Amino acid sequence: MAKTPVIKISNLSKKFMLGDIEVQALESVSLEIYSGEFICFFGPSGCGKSTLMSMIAGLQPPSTGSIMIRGEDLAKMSTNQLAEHRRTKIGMVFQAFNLIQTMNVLENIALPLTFARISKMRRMKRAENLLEIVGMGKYKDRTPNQLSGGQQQRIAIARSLVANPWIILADEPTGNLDSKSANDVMKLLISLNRKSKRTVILITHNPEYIQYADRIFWMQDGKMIKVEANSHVHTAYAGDKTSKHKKGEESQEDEVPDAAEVKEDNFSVEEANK
Amino acid sequence: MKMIDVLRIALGNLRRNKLRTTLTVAGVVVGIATIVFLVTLGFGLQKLVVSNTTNLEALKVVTITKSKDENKLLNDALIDNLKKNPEVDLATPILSYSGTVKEKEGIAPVINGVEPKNFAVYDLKTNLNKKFSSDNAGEIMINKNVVTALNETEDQIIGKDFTFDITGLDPTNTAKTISVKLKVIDIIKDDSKGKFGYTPIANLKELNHHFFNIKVKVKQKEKLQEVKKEIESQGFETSVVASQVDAINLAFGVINGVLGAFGMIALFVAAIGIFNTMTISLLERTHEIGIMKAIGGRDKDCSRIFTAEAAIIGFMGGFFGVFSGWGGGKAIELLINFLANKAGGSAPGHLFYTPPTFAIGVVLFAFFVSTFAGIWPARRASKLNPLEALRYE
Ligand SMILES: Nc1ncnc2c1ncn2[C@@H]1O[C@H](COP(=O)(O)OP(=O)(O)O)[C@@H](O)[C@H]1O
Ligand SMILES: [Mg+2]
Repeated sequence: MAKTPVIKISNLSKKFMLGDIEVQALESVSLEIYSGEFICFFGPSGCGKSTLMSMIAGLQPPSTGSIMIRGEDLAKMSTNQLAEHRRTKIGMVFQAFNLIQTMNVLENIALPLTFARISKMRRMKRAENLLEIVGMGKYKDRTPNQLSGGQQQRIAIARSLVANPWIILADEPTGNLDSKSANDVMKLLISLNRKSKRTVILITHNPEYIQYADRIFWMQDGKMIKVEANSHVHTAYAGDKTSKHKKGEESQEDEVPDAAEVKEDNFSVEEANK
Repeated sequence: MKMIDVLRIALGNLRRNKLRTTLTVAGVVVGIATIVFLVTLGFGLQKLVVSNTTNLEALKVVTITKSKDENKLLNDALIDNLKKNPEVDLATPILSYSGTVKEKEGIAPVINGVEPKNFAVYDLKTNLNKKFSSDNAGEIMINKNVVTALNETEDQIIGKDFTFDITGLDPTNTAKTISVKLKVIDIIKDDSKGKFGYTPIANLKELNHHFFNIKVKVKQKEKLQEVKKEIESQGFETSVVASQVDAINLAFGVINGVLGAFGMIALFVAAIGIFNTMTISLLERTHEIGIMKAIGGRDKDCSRIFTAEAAIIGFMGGFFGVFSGWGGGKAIELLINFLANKAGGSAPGHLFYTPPTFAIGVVLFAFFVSTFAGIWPARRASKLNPLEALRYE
């Protein structure tokens, strides 16, 4: 099947100055990622994974090289256009959850739509819908600090989905979670990719997860050292391996709905804006 | 982001930090209340002085005192001419001659001939509030000094007739003395040392050469200057009470300015408080701003939330400040009037005066000052690097 590159990175380098010392965080990275792929950035800590991801999100500019998102050059975008890029095309999930503590769960999920000038009624409806999808329907009036880590991360995932973006960027989303919650989060991400055909980029250094990726980008010292395609991924199912050894363990977490329940609901910010 | 959502988030943030918000608003309240208290006291005293100096009707009167030109006279023709001006309510002459009283030696009161129907324009207070019974009634109102000089009491003299010999110029410009018998109908209250009386001008018609002065009353106070200029351009000299009032107003303008400046210092301190609060708030919320930017908030959205918070503090401070300043004034006023009444003195009445436009203006002022104080923290928020802000915890 003919695939279009949703992300095309050419010769990307990033240098930081730490006082007088120059840190080469990325060096001549080139890659293409296609629509609907599940990608893993894999490599030791400090190899430049987060830097690469934040540049895809347009949170910092490259030193040299270019990033094209569906043919659009991020370097040519104004700060407002970059904000719109993050709001509409990118959904970000962080290791530290990064929810706003002073807002309740629904407000957090709806916040990107608030920035997009969607009416309160519409965005709340959308947020409630996503809250159900991530299996957190009961908790809409809670604030983040009243939730466990795994629950917070599911809220963060709901938030990343709210504007129906093409690309989900997840930077070690399971890094702060116990293995049961980590498994739930992985299940969600995988189902988003499989059922909603979203492009997912996952940063991890847990080798257990790389089996779910279509392709794995191995990184080291700011360089892309190897790209590996996984042939068996489509038969692998998130629940199979990762949850087996958790059986019998007491969990206060709610059951994450089966991946099949996460369906595309054709929500579009552009449409809603009209 | 929509304005309503900016306000929602800003209000939510303020509500969450209740103590800090309250203290910051209290700072603005103190500043604004000080301004309002002091300046409305200034306005109140100004009003009190102006209204004690003149009644409000007097502000509509211009007096033509003399002509600069020999050929132009203060006469009936001029009065007719003045009455044609649509802005003029009335124009009324006065004749003043000195007279003596028959069979009473050494009394020489000034006898003023006035039009009975326009007598109110002189704004004289009398014991009995009498009016002249007709345009040519043989009646006179005299002041206390005349009563004493005639060896009478204020009660007994009412209704008595006296014959006055009044000397003036006749229409041919020759001196002439006329004798008129006039009945005393009322006593003019005044504090002056002079002796005078008022009688219908008809009683002096044989001396009707040209008028001592003409009082012109305009329909609207605002048109006074216009009419005054018009009369002056015809070659007459004029005087108005209004110019004294202008001087009083100017003096109070200066006083109010000084009082306002004291209050301004208080408000300035409050503005520093707002700045401080917003800066602390910015530091606390650095991480939050990073999140907002990472999930698609624009720089503008971040700065607007901060600006809105500062503006809301300013508006609330302004509103409650005006209210407290006004209430404080009212309380002091009540207290002073209460004490004055108790001490048996005359209560001063309203000491504070708050013009509505001033109140609204002060609220807007507080709003703009604090919005201004919030600009810098808001700008900082919008310029934060999202990645650094995300690291910040
Ligand atoms: N803002 C920055 N200033 C200086 N050095 C940085 C900055 N961000 C990242 N780096 C450096 O760049 C390298 C890659 O970092 P990062 O992308 O966070 O690695 P990873 O996510 O793979 O662990 C590291 O050596 C890190 O210290
Ligand atoms: Mg990292």
